[in-house]
Amino acid sequence: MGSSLANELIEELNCETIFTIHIGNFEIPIMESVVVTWIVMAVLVLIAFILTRGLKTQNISKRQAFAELIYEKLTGIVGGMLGEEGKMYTGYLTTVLLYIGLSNIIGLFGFKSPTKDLNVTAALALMSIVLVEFAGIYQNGMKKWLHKFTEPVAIVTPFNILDVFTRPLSLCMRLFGNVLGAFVIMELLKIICPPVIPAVFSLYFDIFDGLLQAYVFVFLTSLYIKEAVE
Amino acid sequence: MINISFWNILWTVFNLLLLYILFRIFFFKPIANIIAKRQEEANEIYDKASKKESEAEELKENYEAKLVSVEEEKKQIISDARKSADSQYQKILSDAKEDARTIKDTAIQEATQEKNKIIAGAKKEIADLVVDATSKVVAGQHGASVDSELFDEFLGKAGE
Repeated sequence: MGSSLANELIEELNCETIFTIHIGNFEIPIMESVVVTWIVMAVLVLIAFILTRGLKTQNISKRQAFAELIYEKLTGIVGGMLGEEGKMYTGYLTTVLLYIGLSNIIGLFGFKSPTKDLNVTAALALMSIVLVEFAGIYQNGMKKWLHKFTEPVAIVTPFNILDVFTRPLSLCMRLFGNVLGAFVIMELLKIICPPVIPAVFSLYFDIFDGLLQAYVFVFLTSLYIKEAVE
Repeated sequence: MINISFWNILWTVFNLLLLYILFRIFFFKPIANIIAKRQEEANEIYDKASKKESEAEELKENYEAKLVSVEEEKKQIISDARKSADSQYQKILSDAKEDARTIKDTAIQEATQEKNKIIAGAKKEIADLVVDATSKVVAGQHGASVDSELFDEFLGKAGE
């Protein structure tokens, strides 16, 4: 029982290579998480595409009102966290919020969440830290950006440099750990006491926690950006 | 699960960028554009409205000013009319007085002339009468009867 459960979990957690693209001598493996990411992207873009058909300035349809509501709310939340100087990064972070949010709850529809793959969260964290450092350099210039490492006192410089690596690491691991943890708990609950209790817990672990982690990821990234550009 | 795959990371980065670009094209841009456009339209309408309002205000002021000037003109015209009527009246009155005086003077003059004429006529008649009577007396000498006849005739003529 114990070993079969463990095997089952590992089976669920493993990210398989679906297919491999051969270009010359290169072999490019396409992992499961990438395929699910494409599905997530397709769904998001399709929804966006449908929502933004036939936009008008007056006598708007309910669909357009809904689209505008989503747009205003999301950009309002993300833009508010970024502050005035970081406004230009709102679009990317909103996209990330939607992507992580849908990725986290897509498990409900029978797919393996892409965020359950460490590579995906690592890539997200990598993008975030690149964006943060880019924003710092772009806004303040190279000299000031470098000088910021010695603030507030020179002795903290090593820690500030360390920050560049620990921040994405913590972003990456937090998201991955939460999704993984939620998944493991849900699997255990499903095996131990189906079917009512898992349904209740699923509300928390699959939906609430999934969306919360998406928010936390974007919130922290925007916090870093805000700090970098001020 | 915890195996790091370079390709997987690369794919995810690529996917994220692609998703961002697609979202910009299909979601952020159109909605931001339509909101900006609506704002512009609203501003335009607002501008037009305030422009019209100021125009109306101006027209109103014009009309009010005109109204005031018309009122003044009215007063002017009435007072002018009153003045001219007054002077006309005075003139007519003085003309009438003049005329009356002239008529009266003429009448007096004429009456005086008539009177003089009559007096002159009477004088002449009397003179003639006297001459006639005298000549008859002198020519006839017919006694007392004649005298009395003559006297009666004289009296009769004089009584006429």
